[in-house]
Amino acid sequence: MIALKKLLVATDFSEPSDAALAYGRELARSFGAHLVALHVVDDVLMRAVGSDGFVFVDPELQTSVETAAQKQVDELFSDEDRTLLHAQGVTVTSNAPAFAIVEYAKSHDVNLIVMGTHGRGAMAHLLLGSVAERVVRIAPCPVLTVRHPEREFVVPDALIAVVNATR
Amino acid sequence: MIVLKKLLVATDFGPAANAALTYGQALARTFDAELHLLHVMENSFLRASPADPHAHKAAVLRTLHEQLTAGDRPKTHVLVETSDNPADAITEYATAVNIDLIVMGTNGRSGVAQLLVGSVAERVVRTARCPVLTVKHPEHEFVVPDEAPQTTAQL
Repeated sequence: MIALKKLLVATDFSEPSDAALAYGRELARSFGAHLVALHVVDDVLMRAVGSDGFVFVDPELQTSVETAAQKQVDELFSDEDRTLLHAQGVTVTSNAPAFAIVEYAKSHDVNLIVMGTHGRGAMAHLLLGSVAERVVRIAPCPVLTVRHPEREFVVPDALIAVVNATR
Repeated sequence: MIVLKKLLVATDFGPAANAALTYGQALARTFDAELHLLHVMENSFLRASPADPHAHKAAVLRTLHEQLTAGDRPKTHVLVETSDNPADAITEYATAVNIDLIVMGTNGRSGVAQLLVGSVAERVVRTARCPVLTVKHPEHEFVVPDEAPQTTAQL
């Protein structure tokens, strides 16, 4: 039998991430698992040092970015999620999001990572690779990748509702 | 609300694929879903091969059936497809029968080659329209080369 006691949804607050959260929530309910939403915050200071030359970055900027991200990740969950699934929003600061997600999963005994993927073209993947693909490759646990269903057509919500209703 | 009524497990009979099947079976039971078990065979009809391709296909089908337990069978479809591009065969099948979730193992048989060109599972993750659950062989864990330099560069 498989162990699904702790699910991690990695989110960048995009539409595919919201779709991933819907799967994470449903799986957590069905298996009685804890649900964690993780957002990787950009390390603004390191980003600035990494670019050429010296760039002055107000250290307060990082703190305010992190506070805003924590608030946003907390807002993903309803009170019901918090009581039923012990849902919890966390942030980690890193410029290597895939690595940060996998590190979190390892250190917190996560049984399943759920992530959204952007349906980008073949060329973009060759050049950049996506965070989700890296996570698939290096994660210690199973990874569920969710593609935003209507991504390619850029449809309004109403049409998505119609598609869901007809399924 | 999400739909999980038709699950597809794609197997190459490797250890990771067997782990994937365990997940597929558990999910199918939990969500009362149909389980489709697919193996994509190399197109041996086009190759010089000592074995009779039809006999081979029958043997593969038998092996697939043996992987299922009595609990799975009522809502299970077992099939063998022949293609030189397993990833595309898997996604095409998933689209054709409206699969809600594909479950597959990673690092099954590709070995070092997958570091260079990407594995079948990675291609499925990229191209499938439905969600994809990738499962590793439990003991399998290694450090990936392309993530390491980036992390070091930050220090």
